[in-house]
Amino acid sequence: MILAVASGKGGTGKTTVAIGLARAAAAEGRTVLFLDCDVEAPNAALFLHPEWEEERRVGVLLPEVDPEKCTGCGRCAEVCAYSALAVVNGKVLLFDDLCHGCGSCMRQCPEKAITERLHTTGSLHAGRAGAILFARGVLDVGRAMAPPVIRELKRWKLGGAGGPGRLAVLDAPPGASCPVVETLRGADRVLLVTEPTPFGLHDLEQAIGLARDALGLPVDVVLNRADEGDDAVERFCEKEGIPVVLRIPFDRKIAEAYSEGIAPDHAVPEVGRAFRDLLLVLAGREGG
Amino acid sequence: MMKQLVVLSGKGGTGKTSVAAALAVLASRERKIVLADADVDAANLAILLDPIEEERVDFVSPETAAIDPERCVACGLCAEACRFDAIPVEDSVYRVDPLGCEGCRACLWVCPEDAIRMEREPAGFRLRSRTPYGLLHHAHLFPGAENSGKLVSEVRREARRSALDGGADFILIDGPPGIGCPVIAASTGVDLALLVAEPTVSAIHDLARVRGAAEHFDVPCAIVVNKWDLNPGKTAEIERFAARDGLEIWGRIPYDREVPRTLVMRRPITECPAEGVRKAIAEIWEAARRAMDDAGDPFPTRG
Ligand code: SF4
Ligand code: SF4
Ligand code: SF4
Ligand code: SF4
Repeated sequence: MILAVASGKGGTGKTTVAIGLARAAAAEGRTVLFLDCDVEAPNAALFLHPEWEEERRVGVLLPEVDPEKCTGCGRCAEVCAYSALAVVNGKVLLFDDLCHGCGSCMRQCPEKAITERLHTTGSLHAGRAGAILFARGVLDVGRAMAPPVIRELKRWKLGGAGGPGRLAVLDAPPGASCPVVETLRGADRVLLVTEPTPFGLHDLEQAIGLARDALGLPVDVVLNRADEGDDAVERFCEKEGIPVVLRIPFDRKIAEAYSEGIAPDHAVPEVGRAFRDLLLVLAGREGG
Repeated sequence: MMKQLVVLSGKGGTGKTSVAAALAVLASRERKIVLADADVDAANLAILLDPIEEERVDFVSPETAAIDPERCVACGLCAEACRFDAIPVEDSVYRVDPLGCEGCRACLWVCPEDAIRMEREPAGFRLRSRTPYGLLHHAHLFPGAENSGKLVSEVRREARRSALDGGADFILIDGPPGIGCPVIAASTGVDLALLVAEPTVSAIHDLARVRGAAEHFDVPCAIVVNKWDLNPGKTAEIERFAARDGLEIWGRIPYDREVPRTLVMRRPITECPAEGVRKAIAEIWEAARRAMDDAGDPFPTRG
């Protein structure tokens, strides 16, 4: 099962839940892959402390024009959907930051004057955290586009990870636009972590709009700090027929452990049991 | 001269919007201000500010490709050309997954049958609302819609126009989480970024990243520590980070369970019953005002 843990609003406890589930599954001897897809704010490693084994740089393929072959015909600029190329005085100018690396200019150049080189915008790391296979993407500071890094991370490690008896946990970025879409595509189900506040409700609606309505994925909700708000989220979930599969009450011990980078089930054993139960519930859903 | 301040955090959920709303309340008592919610994925500032909607303008998405099944001969060249895995094939039927499509047109140029068109869909809307504290520019992005960076830029452009028209001297922007394109769109050209951090390993990790991004785009920063007493040791770490980088710390907001209660009632934390919280917010506004009024050197420079 490929399970994406997402949230809409940031800071609701998404990473805590993702880690808790991965650790619970690993403790039962299952093969677990953890992918930190929140490449703008990759934090899961701070809790799982993996031993890094592999690293690679990723990015976009930028075109490079051979001035010997280029005739300045302008076709490349014409096909670029992002105006990343301009032909000025017979010379091709490239605006790196606008290029999505789609390859059209190279394919369409009548003189075959364009080749490509990798322009790195981030890195991928993989290793082991006990029994958990861990991998993450990290967007370089100052770079704009998270989706290519997420895409490369999934291409690198996700293949075959969702097979029978296996669990892949994807820790998604917050929000409900491109980086979240890139993470959720291809997942089997989505666990949305929220809090019972007006913010939590508003952003949950967005996340459901994406995960369930636009992507057509099965969705469950985890309510974090469940006793620290009102019942609007519960009522909303009931009306929408979305199961609230876990309620985690506020506990200063969990908050303090979190602040030190200690996994929640480590600090409060009952939380570990709750995650094991949650795994069973989710596995039951997948089967039935 | 008009000043722009963006509130950022790197990691989401550290209290960015709560701080922005509280600053809006205090600033509006002394100044004419305009507000902008640049977190269009999760636009929450309005929840705390009693807005009355005045204007709503549709926002269309960038283009996405669509295949005309009448013309398509299933040659597969488009799927081969698409580098974004946006053209899945099932039973030799090729179709575009609009959520994966980046609108690059690569498929359109390679299709021998001229079977691909580019389309635009509604992607959300931009809003202008009146609040007791000033005009609020915000937006609603439909779930899954692309290019929040572009919508953020539109929200900021409209806020700037309102500020110029209305003679406001201060634009306060609630920024998005992360460090990528929406953050860049929310913070290019601002006078200062106020970074809200919690004393946790993750928030500190992300604070350094968002600070790096701000530096990359030449935006000076100051710091607010939220829930500082949840982990005084980590707060000291944030202070060391600030000292090393020459950043001012504008305030430390204590951890208090009255804060979520206030927010659940949709009230800004200037109305929080806990006095320590109100005092911290007042100090943060003092620091912000001082920074803005310091005419020669409007914001503290980086060390
Ligand atoms: S399409 Fe090729 S030949 Fe024409 S301007 Fe571009 S690089 Fe030069
Ligand atoms: S690779 Fe695509 S986006 Fe980049 S310059 Fe060429 S046509 Fe434009
Ligand atoms: S426009 Fe680009 S991203 Fe969209 S389907 Fe065509 S090739 Fe793929
Ligand atoms: S390239 Fe054109 S004809 Fe070929 S599969 Fe794609 S849409 Fe169909």
